[in-house]
Order: sequence, then structure tokens, then C-alpha cells
Amino acid sequence: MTAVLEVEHLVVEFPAGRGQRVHAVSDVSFDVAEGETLGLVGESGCGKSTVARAVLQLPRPTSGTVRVSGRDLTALRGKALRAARRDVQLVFQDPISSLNPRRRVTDLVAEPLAIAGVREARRHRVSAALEAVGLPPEVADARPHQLSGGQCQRVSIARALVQEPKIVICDEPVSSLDVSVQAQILNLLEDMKHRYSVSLVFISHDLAVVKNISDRVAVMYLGKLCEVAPADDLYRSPMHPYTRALIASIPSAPGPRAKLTGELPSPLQPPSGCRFRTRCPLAQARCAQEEPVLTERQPGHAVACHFPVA
Amino acid sequence: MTLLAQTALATPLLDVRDLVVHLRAPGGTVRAVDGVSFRLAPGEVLGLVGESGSGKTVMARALLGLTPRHAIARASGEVLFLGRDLRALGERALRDVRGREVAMVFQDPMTALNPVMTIGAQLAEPMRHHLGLGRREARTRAIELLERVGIPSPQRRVSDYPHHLSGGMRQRVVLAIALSCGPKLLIADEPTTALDVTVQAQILDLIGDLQHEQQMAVVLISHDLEVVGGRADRIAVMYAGRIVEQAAARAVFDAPRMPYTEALLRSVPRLDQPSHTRLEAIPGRPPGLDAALVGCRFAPRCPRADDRCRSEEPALGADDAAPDHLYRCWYPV
Repeated sequence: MTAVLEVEHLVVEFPAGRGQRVHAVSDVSFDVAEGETLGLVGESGCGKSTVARAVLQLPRPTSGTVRVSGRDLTALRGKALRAARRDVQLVFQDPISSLNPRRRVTDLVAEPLAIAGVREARRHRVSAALEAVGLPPEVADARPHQLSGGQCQRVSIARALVQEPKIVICDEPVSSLDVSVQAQILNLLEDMKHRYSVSLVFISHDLAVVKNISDRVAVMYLGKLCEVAPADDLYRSPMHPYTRALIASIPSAPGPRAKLTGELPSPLQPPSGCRFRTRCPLAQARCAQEEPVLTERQPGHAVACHFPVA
Repeated sequence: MTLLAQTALATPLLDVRDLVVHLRAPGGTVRAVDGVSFRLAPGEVLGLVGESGSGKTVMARALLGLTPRHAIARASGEVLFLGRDLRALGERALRDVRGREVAMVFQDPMTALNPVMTIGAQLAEPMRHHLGLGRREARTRAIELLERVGIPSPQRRVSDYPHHLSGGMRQRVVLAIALSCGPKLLIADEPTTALDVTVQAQILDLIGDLQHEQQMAVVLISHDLEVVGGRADRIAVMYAGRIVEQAAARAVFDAPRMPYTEALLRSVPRLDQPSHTRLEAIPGRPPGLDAALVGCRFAPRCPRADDRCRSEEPALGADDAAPDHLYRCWYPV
């Protein structure tokens, strides 16, 4: 399979005053194949949203490359960048605040086409997109405040898909929705992926949701990837101690709880060596000195740990 | 049911009878809580589950008289705490109950604390007011409490301000404040929703330990059945302002009677399913509560509904074989 999105050695740092820097994303590499869904999980503050934005050059990453269908976005400027960005669309967490409250649904969905200068069959494409996401025709003239959260999220998805992108990045798209509506949106994303043949990057803190929708899952901790594996594999036999702890802390997880103590260290001064060592039950002296590299231990299953759990 | 549990239910700690709270809203009235009754035995953990807008938070606040007076369009029913109707108490008498006998923990630990007071001062406040402790004594107790809820180096932390602490640590402080006067009942409204999964497990375990230690009853409110599942003795499911099912926690998971509960359990992705398992979504959304509703409130979204469901609302009842498993349905699962 060919990779639609290739991210290599992505680094994002923000100045934090007094000469300090927030190490939000540190040397993250991954790729997404055509038609594939990659899940990205981690606790808040681990850098998953920053990765999503850096892919779109919002803001430009400190270093690293982001290739979409072979074209390096980090090398593009101005008009060329804006045109290339059309292939990558974002769906945000809060569906209500991500839509302009003064605009009608049709205009919201047509706007990206208008900006792209598409004139031909614009109306038709908009109504087709609205229909595809399961919105009734009468919603077309409504404004966001007249819709429910679930409906607004459908509008956001329609708006992302109307430009026929190659990749849709969903940043916690169901986190602010009710459980009963969440399943509708997850099923919709699954259907849209096939209908529009796009690849998805699905970001969430909810492991059960990520497992349901993803082909592969990448686990992030404090700005770094610690494990990447096929979804079923990752949950059946997690190798990184952090992944194990994450899975164990899900209320419905079977077996004893391998509890994680403490909290995320500051990204201003990340721990030396392995960033997880300060909370890791298996940490040894080597973990503080030497940084583990993401290595493939089983076919398709990579882990960054000196002492992975077999 | 054991004899002990029977006597406990005979003299409940909390007995809510037909509680109604209708709120004023721009377009009219919202029937947020519409006739809710339940009982809680001393030391019991009741999980209260429902989607947003089902009325759980309005109900929880109404128990302690925390609903702003100007927002109430209509309120009735009784909230009997150890036989005393809290709804009949005046503000001053209520203040002696709040924080002392009944404590509450809210969802958002960021806004529950006063940003310009040290956490030590906030911990000392209820103890000085309710228990009459002196300044020094209250501070010593505060340090002990911080230690109990798992805050590292409590002697130092006691002088910190809330912004020095992370979300999980703040929720621990909020819990310490709630527990400072040894309440008999703790109402925890989505105590972990704003927190990360790993921290969520820590806080829920802590609530469980403290509940056990202090033999305190807990109403644990959440939109997430799974969160409440392993920790509650009984579960009550709310939908559109009403309790639609109430039973022992295991029974709700293993054999729900109410179609809504069953649908809710099925719509949640589970870790034991392979990836790409199609989810059984519940069509539509909960009804608006601004008009009187006829029939079963779940009927428009229910696969079993027929004309009877749409015209006549079932009462919260039980089968003779399982008198403790209450449900509100004509055609139970």
C-alpha cells in the first residue's frame, strides 16, 4: 500500500519565556496508508493535537517533514501551500464553536469550495455531501445554534469531505457528544471513509473508541510515540508499560488494575532517557541514561522501550 | 436481599420522593427533573447514569437546595435526609447540612476552588465553621487530609494556591474538602469527567477507599455507564427527567429490562470487540423537555415501541420475581 501521509522526525517546540521551551512534539515519525485509519491516543498534554496541526503547518513545525502524496508541505509557501492543504482536512472536537454561528449550513459547507474557486456543480456537491452525512434537506438553511451537537458534527464532517481530500484528521470528534450520539458519528466516519475513499487520522483519549475505528494505533506520551501496532494487536498484547497502564485504567478493562501513579511530567523539562521512566513500574538505571528508539519487535508492531513486556 | 440490607432500606439515609424541578428558560419551562424517587441506605453507593440533559445534575443540586431560586419555575416533592425534609429547611439550616452531613464534589476541579485562597485555608474553612476547630488545629487536620487523598509533601502543598496544582491534584483537594467534616453522604457529580483516563482511575479508586473507610453513602453521577459500573451497589438510569431503570449494578449490566439501558450498553465501543465492529447506534436524540410529553419518553427512539407506548406512560415498576429491579416499560427486554 502506498502512504498518503508520511511524517518524519516531526519536532514542535514553543517558546515559554525565560529561555525555556515547551517540547510539545519530539521526533515523531509515522505514515498513513491509502484508505487506512490511524488512531492516535494519549492523555491530554501529550501532543496529539499539536501533531495534527503541525501536519497542516498550523503552525509550521520546528523541524521535520510532512509529505502528503509525496509532496513535502514544509517546503511549500503561500498559494502552493494553501492548495496542497486541501488534501488534508480537520474535524475538531467542539462542533458548535468550530462553525460560524452566523452562517447557514449550506454556506458553511460551500465555503471551502468557494475559496478553492470551484464554481462547477457547487450546489450539487454541497447537497450531496449533506445527504451523505445523513442530514435532512431542511437543515440546509438552519444556523448552527438550531442544531444539536451531533448534527453540527455532521456538518463539520460534510465540510471536510466536500473538497474530496485524501486525509481527514479528526481531533477528538466524539468527545463532546453524548454516548448515544457518539456511536452514530463513529459509524458515519466509517461509512464516509469508504464512500469518499479517504484515510483517517483519528485522535482521541478514549481507547475503546480508538480501537473501534482504527486499523493501526499509535500511542503517544509526552511528545513521543511509545508504541505503534495494528489495533487488535495493541489491545491484545501491548508491549509498552505505558500502553498497558492506559488499557488497565479503562473502567471496563478486564483483570487487575495495573495502576499508574503520579502525573504527566512537565514538557518544559522532559525526563532524560525514556520520558515515561518517572512513572514506569519497570524502569531501571538504563532508562534514565539512554533514550529508547521506536523499534519493530514483531511484524507491524513497534515499541520504544528498553524492557518491553513480552 | 440480606436481612441487614432490608433493615437499611427500611430506615434509609436518603429518601427522595417524587422530586420535581422545572426550570425557567428563555422559551418557557424546562422539565429538567420530572418526578424522581429513590432511596439510599447508609454506606450504599448509588450510580446515577444518564446522557447530558437527562436531569442528573439538576437533580443532584436540588437535593442540597443549590438551584438558584430565580431559575425555578416549579419545584415539589420531598428530600428526606435521615427523616428530615431538606426541601422544607431554611437557608441557614441547610447551610449546617451542606458540607457537614452531605458533601458535594463537582465536575470541574478548575472552577470548584477559590483561586485566591490557599488550599489549606479552603480546607480549614468548613472544619472551623462546622466543627469549631481552631486555626492551628484546622491546619493540622488539613495536612492530614491532604496526605490521606494522596497529595505528595502535604506540609508544603497546604500553602499552595489552586493554580499550582494539576487537574487531578485539584480534584483530590476538592475531595479532601468534601470529606473534611465526615459527611454521611457524598454527592459526586461527574467527578472524573474533566480528567484523563489514568487519573480518572486513581480518583475513582480513592473515592471507593474513602467510602469504605468512612462508611459513607455515595451518589456517583456519570454519563458513562462503565465508570459507574464497577463501583456502585445499585444503578439508576435517568432519561428525559425520569428514572427509567433502577437495579443492582450487575443486573443492569447483565440483564437490563429497559430498552434504553440495553441500547446504551450496546452503543458503546467495547475493548473486547475486534476493531471496526459496527456500533448499534441509537437513532435520533433525547426529546426536548420544554413541553409536556405523552407516553413513554423513549418511545420515539425505541425499536419495541407501539401505539400503547406512544399514548400511555408506563410506571416505574418491577416483576414479582425480582422486586428490586425497577423499570419503566410496557415491553421490557
